[in-house]
This record gives sequence, structure tokens and C-alpha cells, in this order.
Amino acid sequence: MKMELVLQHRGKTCQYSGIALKDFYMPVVNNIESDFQIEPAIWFKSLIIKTIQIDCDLRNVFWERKSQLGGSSSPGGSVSPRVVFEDDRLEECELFNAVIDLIHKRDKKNCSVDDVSREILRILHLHVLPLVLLKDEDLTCLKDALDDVEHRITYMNNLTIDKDKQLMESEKNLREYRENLLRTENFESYSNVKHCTDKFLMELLDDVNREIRILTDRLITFQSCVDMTRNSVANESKLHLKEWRKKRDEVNSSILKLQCIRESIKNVTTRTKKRKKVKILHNEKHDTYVTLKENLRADKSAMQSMFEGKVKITSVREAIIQACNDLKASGESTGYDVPKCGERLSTDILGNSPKPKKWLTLNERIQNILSDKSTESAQTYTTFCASTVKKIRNFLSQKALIDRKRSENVPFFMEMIDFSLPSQQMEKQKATGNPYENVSTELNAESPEKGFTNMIKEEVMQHIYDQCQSLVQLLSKQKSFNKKANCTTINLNNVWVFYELQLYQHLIEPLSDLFENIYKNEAKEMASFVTSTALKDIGVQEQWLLDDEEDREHHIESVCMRNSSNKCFEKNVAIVALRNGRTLTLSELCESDEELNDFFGSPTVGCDSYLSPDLHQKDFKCTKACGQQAFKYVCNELEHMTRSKSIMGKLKSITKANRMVSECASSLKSKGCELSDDNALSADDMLASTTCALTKVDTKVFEKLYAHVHLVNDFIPPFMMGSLQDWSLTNFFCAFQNISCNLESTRSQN
Amino acid sequence: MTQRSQPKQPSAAGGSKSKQIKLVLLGESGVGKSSIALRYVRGEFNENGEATIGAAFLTKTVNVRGQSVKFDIWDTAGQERYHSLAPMYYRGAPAAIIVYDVTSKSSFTRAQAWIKELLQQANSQMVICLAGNKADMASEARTVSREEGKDHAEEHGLLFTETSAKTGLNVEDMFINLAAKIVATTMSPGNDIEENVRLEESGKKGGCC
Repeated sequence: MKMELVLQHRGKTCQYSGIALKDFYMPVVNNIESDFQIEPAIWFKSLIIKTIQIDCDLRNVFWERKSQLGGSSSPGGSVSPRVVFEDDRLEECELFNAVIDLIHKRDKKNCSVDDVSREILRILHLHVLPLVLLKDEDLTCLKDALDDVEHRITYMNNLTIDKDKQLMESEKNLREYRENLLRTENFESYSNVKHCTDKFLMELLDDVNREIRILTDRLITFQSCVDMTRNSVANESKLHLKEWRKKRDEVNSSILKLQCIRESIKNVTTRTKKRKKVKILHNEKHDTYVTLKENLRADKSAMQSMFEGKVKITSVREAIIQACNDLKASGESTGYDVPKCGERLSTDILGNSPKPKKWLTLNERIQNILSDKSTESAQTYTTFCASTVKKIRNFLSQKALIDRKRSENVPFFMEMIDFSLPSQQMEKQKATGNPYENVSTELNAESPEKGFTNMIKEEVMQHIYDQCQSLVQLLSKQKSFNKKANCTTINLNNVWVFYELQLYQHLIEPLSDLFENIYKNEAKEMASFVTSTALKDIGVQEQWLLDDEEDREHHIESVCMRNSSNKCFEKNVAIVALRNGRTLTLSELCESDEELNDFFGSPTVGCDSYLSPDLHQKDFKCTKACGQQAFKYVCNELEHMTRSKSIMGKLKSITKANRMVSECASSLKSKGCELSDDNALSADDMLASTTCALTKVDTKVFEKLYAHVHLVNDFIPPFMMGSLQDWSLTNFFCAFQNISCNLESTRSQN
Repeated sequence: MTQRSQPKQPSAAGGSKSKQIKLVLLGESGVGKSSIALRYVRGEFNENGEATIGAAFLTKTVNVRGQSVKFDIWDTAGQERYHSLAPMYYRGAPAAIIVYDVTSKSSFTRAQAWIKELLQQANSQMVICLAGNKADMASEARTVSREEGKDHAEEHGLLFTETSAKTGLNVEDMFINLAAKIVATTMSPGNDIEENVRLEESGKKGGCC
């Protein structure tokens, strides 16, 4: 059940085996545990992972699942490696830096084997395991792991019960043994006690003290019973009073006796200075008592560990159950539903597992700085967020006012707010004539909207850059982190990524509103053009993409039908038109697999956003074949992109969507160009396919997407230029531009 | 539709320790841009095969003069109808390969137009290579002579080579030469694009790592 880690750097390969979740709750590397308590929930993945490979040269991470026992997980029984991540310009840089540091230290023999093991634990816990994405094909393996965990829990339960019985028996024996000792020997006598060993006396004193506490509680209880019965007027109470008094007096005399013993022990152990001169006599009974106590203490400690283990293993079980549920619902899961790098994960059931400072990730360190209001960075951050949000909100409300006035044909000067760039202002000053004439509803370089967005963009980018510079300085001064390694590389780009995450928590919503608002007219026009025009008139001329033109015509009809009766698509009463001519409500559709297939075979994806998660799951299953149907996956991802709360998140979604487009196009082209000499997927094909994918997006999502692609395009971090993410974004950006060009040309022809 | 705007901040390639270079492949449709990229990165030539996933964006890391250089290779659409979109692709790229087919005169004419466009529109520091592809077919169907290509490249100060994605002729060398030229250009003082900050415990500032 052990996992292997392969690290590669500059052609060297280091392999570490012996990574496991010992007893299903204790992460270990070569039997070395972490030197503090860590939440093991995320380590459930180690139960199904065979190998993790981190390549620092190619900057990618792969994982391979263990093959299932008694069955093959994929055709041929082999399990192929899967990517954890492949690009080095995102936040995962921290991982590669840590791995390179580790390899260097190991090569220079700067650290012990234990330290290497603990560093591997840290790397896996913080940077790798949380990002391993499980898919529905892992479900069986996960269920097997869950069974193993459940068996272990049952075993531990039985073990705990047995141990508890043993413990109770031992305690009972010890008590009897002690009572016997106190009966047979006179511990109230100083002369007797002074010959006992210190160890025995301390153990006895400990027990006597505890016994006194218990008896005192009992005395209080009996005394209150005496008081109650004494005040009662009933005749029966007199009899009871006698009994209660007797019990109280017995307890009292026991306490007095024990107190005498305690005092004499204290006199011997702590109050007598001449104790050294007294001859200590070893007594076998006393030694046995000490041994019994030591055994009991060890048993109690083992019991405590067993309880902690049970809590931890339950945490692992909950994590597996959650992952299984996620897989059933959405087909994929990272194992928990909060972003990584948090100190506490949603699967933590041990409470907040505190991490030592040296385990804090760069993201957490930046979070800490920004939450410490005394730092200049935090103050600048808070002020900037507040002022930018305010600026955007003000602009939007003034624009709404202007739009309203304009619709009412009331002259209204845009100069009431002038957010244009200084260069534009100068040009404006030079211009003569009525400035109102220059105001255009089109978004162009001269429009106030563009001026404002440019200003905001420049302010945000400059702010991020300045803040990152000062954060780099602050972080590099944190000795506690830098001490860990002899030198620490703090990369401006990494800081940028994490600072951005914090910043856009506040800014993404107003920025989205701003971009959706200023691009809404263009977006609406394009969406209307796309839904009412044949693919070839949108600029898609590839025959292998046009093969579903018939379907698309059906889609256009569906959209027309939807536009004419919007009520049809209200939640739960949506009516879908099938190619066989039938119409069904969504609930009827869900009940019929045959009709469902027909529905997903048809391109009425405009109603995707109205589907329930269950239906999406069915969609997932019936579109696995790829091809035109699989474009629906792209649509889902693009919709997800518009909802993502950070620029980096949006970039990741758009990259994923682009990859899906590439896969769909490849599949379609292979099918459609069997006789062709050239069926390698070119950049031309990618553009056409991306354009085609956009035509399948729901109208509302299309409009949002257009604005969000602009948003990401404007706010993409400079160091991402040229990357896979940038290329994916450019593809979508150009696909929109392609549609726009064709819209213009259609308009000019008309 | 607005053009993509350039960020004001210095572009930092410092996420990794290698120099990231965006390289665009330009040229008429069918001249073999994707094939050159595939041959260089994967050592494959896809003739009548399956459509290749991900061939429009490829990466490869090479070591040139002790400097690790990572090429982000962007294939671009070659069809004329997509011509207006090309600036989006070559914007900000420090390197470009303009490909023509040695058996197609029209592709060479198109390549000349690309050279003109890049020299006018693109980054003035851009390192450009003119590549006459399908050299393996030159003996049977050449229509553009080697001299023609070479002269045109020299005239504009470009690198030049004739390649064959099918046989692999000169493909590797072309990329290595491009990388070497870029490294030589960017390593000159004042051209540092790395933004890494490395701090030693003693507080002394070290160089880029």
C-alpha cells in the first residue's frame, strides 16, 4: 500500500518509496512521521496513488493510480499517468523551488534522512496531494480504499473496547491492591513511611490525593442529603437521616485517615531535610505497586493514542466519502471543496490543525501580511480595494443615468465624469465643436468607457506590481522562513499570483459588472448574429465542422422558439424540442434515457444552464464519445469561466475549454477527413473549432463570456504572456473577433 | 472588437529559471508550419495520420550557451480570411519563423508580405527566421530557389534556412540558431527580462538563479 515519489531535476532522478498512510491515518515517509500533528484527510489519495512524478526540468507533475485488484481499470489493465499540472507560471512554482532545494540539500548531504522524509511529507501535503484531481474512473478504487478504512475502523473499535475492559480491570486491581496495602501497613506513622522509596511514596501520594478528592465530593453529596432529610417533616425521614449521617461519617473518617497518610508522606518526601540519612528498605509489595501503576499509565497512553487514531481515521473516511459523492455528482473531485493552502480544510474534523510557521505556504504568508492591518502593505491593499470598488460603482451608476437620459433623448454631457487617459484628454482639448457629438455608443479607443477601463486597468496592474515588490521585500525579511533553507528564492511572479488571488476577491465582481456593462451592446449583437446565422456565414468553412449544419439549423429554430416563448424555459417547466418532433418537459426528458440521448444528440444546448445536476451527469455520460456533442463540455467550462472569482481561475478555465476544443476538433477532423492527405490539426482548424464552440454557448453565457474574455485579456499577468494560458485566451479572443468581422461584413453586405 | 492591450509593467519571465520565448510560426496555409513544430518538439511527421491534438501550441526547452531557453511555439492560422487576426498572435513575440514552401511560388510571395508586415508592425527587437520548407521535394518540384530566399532574408537582416519537416533537415538547427541569437541579444546589458529575486540569509543579494 506504499506510494512512490519520483523527483527529476537536471537529468537526475531521485526515487523515494515508503510513502504511506500508516494504519490509514498516519502519513509517513520511511516510517518517519511529521514532527507535529497534521490533518491526514487529504492523504486518503495516497491509498490509491501508485506514483507521483515531479519533473523540475519540464515543470510538470504526474500521478499514476494503483491498478485495481481483481480487475483492470482501463483497457489492457494498465493505468496511465495523469497530469496534476503542467505549467510553471502558476502558483505551483513554490513546489518546484522546494523540490530543487531538497535535491540540492540531499546532494550536498546538508540534511538528515529524517529531515528529507519530513520535507517530502510537507511537499506532498501542501503542494501535490490537494491538486490531484480524481475522476469517475477512480471511483471503484476509492470504494475499495473506503472498505479498507471501514475494516480498520471496525478493528480499531473492537481493539478499543477490549483495551477499555483491560484498563478497567487493571484500575480495579490496583485499587484493591492499594486498599490492602493501606489496611496492612501503617502509613500514618512517620517512622514506617520514612523507610519507603521515594518512587513508591510519590505514586501513593498521587493516588491518595485523588482518593481524597473523590471522597470529598462524596462527603458533600452525603452532607446535602443529611441537610435535606433533617429539614423534612415526614416521619420516615428520621430513619433516613440516621443512614445518611452514618454514611457521611464513614466517608469523613476515611478522608481523615487518608489525610493523615498524605501528611505523613509529605513530611517524609518534602518536609524532612534529614531524609538522606534514613535507610531505605525495599519492599516487594511496594515495588509491585509501582510496576502496576506504570503499566496502567502506559495502557492509558495507548488508549489515548487509539482514540486520536480513531478520530484521524474517521477524518480520512469522511474525505473518501466526500470525494465519492463529488465523483458521483460531477465526475471529478479534488477531495475537498475549499481552495488549497488554507490552514484548515473542510475535511478537517480534528479542529483547526495548526501548522508550524515553516509549513506556511507563500499564499498563507501573504494572507497573514495582508490581514495584519499594521503593515503598510495591508493598509495600501485595503484602501486600494475600497477606492477602486467605489470608482467602478460610481462610474456604473453615472453611466446608467446617462444611458437613461440618452434613451429619453435628453442631452447629457459625458464630461460630468471624465475618466479618459491624459493623452485622450489632450486630444479632446484640441478638438473643437460640440463634444456631445463625439459620444458614441460603440466602445472604441476614444469612448469614455474605454478611457475608464484603461485607467482602472493601469491602476490595478501598477498597484499589483508595486505591492508585489514591497511584499517580496517583506517576505524576504521573514527570518523564520529563510532560516529553513540557507537561501530562499522569492519570486515576484509567485507573489503576484497569490496577491492577485486576494485582490480579486474584492475586485472581480465590480470589474465583471463593468466589463459586462460596457460590452453588453456588442455582445448582444454578436449573440443575436450567432444564433440566427448559419455556421459558414459566421466564418466556419471546414466541412468536418459543417457536417452538423442540419443540427444547427434545428438549434436556430429552437432558439427562435425560445425567444418567442421565454416562459417555456423557466426552471422546471422548460420544454425541449427533439429531433423526432416530440416536445417534452425537462422532468419527462430526464426519465427517458432514449429521449435524453436524442436531446443531447441535438444541439439545443441553449438550455444547458437550466439543467439539474442529475441531468448534467447524464449529459456527461452520453457525450463521452466526443465529437460535436462534446462541445457541450466546452460550453459548461466556459460558463464556469464566467463565474470564476479570479483572473487566474478564469485563465485556467479557458485553458481547459481550449484543450477540450482541441480534442473535439481532432476527433471530428479525424472522422470527417478520412480521405484527406492533411488531417493534422492546424491553427486554422483551432480557430474554426473555437468559433464553432462559441456558437453552441447559451446566449446569456455568450454575452457574459465576451465581456469576461476582454476582462482576462486586459488583466492577464504580464509574465503569463506567451504561455499556454495566453495562447488559449488568444484563441477565444480571436474567435470572437472572427465572429465580429463576419458580423461587420454581413452588415455591410446588407 | 478592441485590440489586445499591452501591460505597462515589465514582462517577467521569471516563473521558472529558464528564459521563456514566445515564437510564432507564420506562413501560408499548407506550407508545413505545424509539421515543423511537431518535428522539432516531438520528432514526429504526421503524414495521412490521425489529427494531432495540441499541435498548435507546443513547448520545448533547449540549452544554449549555458542558458536554458523554453520555446512557447505558437502556430498561427495561415488562411487569408484569418489574416486580420494574426497581430493578436504575434504581439509581444520576441521570435518568429516565416515559413514558405520551396515548391510554391505563391507561398514565397505570401512570406514576403509577412516579412514586410512584421518589420512594420511587430516588436523591432523580434528575431525573424525565413524558412523554406519541403526541401526534400526540391529536386522534383522546386519553384523558389535557395538564393532567392537567402537574398530576401539577407536584405531584411533575417536568419535563413531551408528545412524539411518530413526528414527533419535543418529543423533543430533553425530553432537552436534562433535561441542563440535571442540569448545573445537579451543577455546584453540592459536586456534582463528575469525578475527573480534571490536573497541569501546573510542579506547579500545574489544574482538571478
